[in-house]
Amino acid sequence: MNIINKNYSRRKVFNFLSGLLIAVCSKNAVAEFKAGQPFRDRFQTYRQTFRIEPDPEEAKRIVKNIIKGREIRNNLINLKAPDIAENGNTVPISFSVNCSMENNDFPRTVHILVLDNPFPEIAKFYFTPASGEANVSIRIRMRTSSNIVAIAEMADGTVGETKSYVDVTIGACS
Amino acid sequence: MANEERKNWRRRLKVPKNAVKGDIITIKTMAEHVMEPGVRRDPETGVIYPKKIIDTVICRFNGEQIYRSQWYSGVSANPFMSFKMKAITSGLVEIEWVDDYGQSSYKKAVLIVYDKDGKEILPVKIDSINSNKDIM
Amino acid sequence: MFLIIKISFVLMLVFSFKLLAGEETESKNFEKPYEKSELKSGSYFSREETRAIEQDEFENPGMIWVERGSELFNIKIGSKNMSCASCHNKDNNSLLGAATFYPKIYKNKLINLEQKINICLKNNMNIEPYLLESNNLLSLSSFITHISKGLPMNVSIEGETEKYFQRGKEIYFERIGQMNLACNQCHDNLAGNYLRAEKISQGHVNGFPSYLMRWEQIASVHRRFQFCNNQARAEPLKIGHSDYNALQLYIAWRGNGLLLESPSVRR
Repeated sequence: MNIINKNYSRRKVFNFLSGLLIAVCSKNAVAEFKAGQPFRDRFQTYRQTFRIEPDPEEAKRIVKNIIKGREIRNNLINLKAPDIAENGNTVPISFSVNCSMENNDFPRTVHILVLDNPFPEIAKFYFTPASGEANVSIRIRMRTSSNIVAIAEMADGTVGETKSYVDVTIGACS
Repeated sequence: MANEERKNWRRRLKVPKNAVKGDIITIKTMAEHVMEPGVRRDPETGVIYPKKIIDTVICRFNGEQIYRSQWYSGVSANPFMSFKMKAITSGLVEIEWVDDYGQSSYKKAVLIVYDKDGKEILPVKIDSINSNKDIM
Repeated sequence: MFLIIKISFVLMLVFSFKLLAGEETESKNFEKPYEKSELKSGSYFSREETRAIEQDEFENPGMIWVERGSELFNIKIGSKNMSCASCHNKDNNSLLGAATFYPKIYKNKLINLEQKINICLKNNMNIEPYLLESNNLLSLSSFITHISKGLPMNVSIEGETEKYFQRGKEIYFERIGQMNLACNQCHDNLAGNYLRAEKISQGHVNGFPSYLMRWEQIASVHRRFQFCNNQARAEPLKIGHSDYNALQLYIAWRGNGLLLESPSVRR
């Protein structure tokens, strides 16, 4: 018994156990990294940087909140987008609003949304009568094949909406 | 490679030099910006690249705001935008790009507008000198 | 009987000479996979909208790098207070058509345009050379290639370059990676067909350094080769490796005659 006590002193046991604890914890930390869990630091908690999956129900709710139950005018806004996007990182689209841009007949806001993106709102555009024409082209990102929705809110309170389906494909090298 | 610190991120602006009054001109803008959406991860360490995008683009003509656009993370990198403006008087077109940390960058161009006879339309009315007795 | 044997023997000799002679001329001319009229640049295989972006000089995002390159070309830096424009201006050494000859031999080694720029910076201007694949070097390289825009590619394989050409040809036809794919299987034989949802192109480098939408910046040929190796699940080499230079030489020779299109917009 005496010999056994000398080999396993309290200090040695404590060192061994603490080493084991550190090994287990760091292994967990490394596993956390590899599994893609966010690394906790102050910057991370300050900015919103997390991964979310696309939620089509949420996107439809956002569209409903913008329209707010108003009646949709036909042929108010045209959206031009390619049928098949070459690359989801750069999809060139353009829209134009059919109105005279005088008095109250101009679009106060135009919203562009992509329904199957993790963050569906893409951009908002605010016009004035000095704009001449509400015709804008821009390049957007799309995660998967989805509908692009353009909603125009006019200054007199009416609303126009249009949709366009764009295919985003996986190519040979992706 | 993509995230190196550089001072001269470029901005480009294209405004036609001349126009006739009542024309609708196209203004094209392009900015060199990563537009990091805040969901991409570094492939080796798993750390997320923080969100850094251009937030607002404002177009001012002779100091007055005529067009504003609000962007979110869905706009592609090195964003290009083109919009229209009605040519009424000559003046200075300024574009301001504001990012979500509050920093701005600017680019300006001069537009000269002629009326039907070929005379330039100035942005300010200049009366004859005799009437400005108060200034003298 | 013997007469028939003699005549057949003589005929065999004659035909064998013809065959041998045929082989010799073939090895001198290096069989090309495409006739000059069949050469199609990468923009032929991309969609309309991408072609529209590439052709408009303002909308092309690659022109940002060309503009920065033109600024870097003209600033005076270093202990000798020289800029690139002090030697290369309109009157002498104008660099028009310079990019059509790369990769070429310099001091017994095959180099491409980016490495030559670094050599010029170090030897002639006494400035520390830029890192390969850094944005400054790519800006200079795309500016110099943009000067020769519209000129046909004209890489030579005479003399000392021939052994690098053979090495490049070997790499092109070699099966690599877990997928055991060689370049020629898709880009020579199956160009124009669909692979998943993408049209296979003929694989020319006349548009490089080009703006690739998947990385959203200008990339050099070597970075694109690394990506090709990754896609075949092979081990990529470092940027600036001599094997990549040899492969670039072979692919450039293969597309000789195509007009330079830099900066092009590709996926």
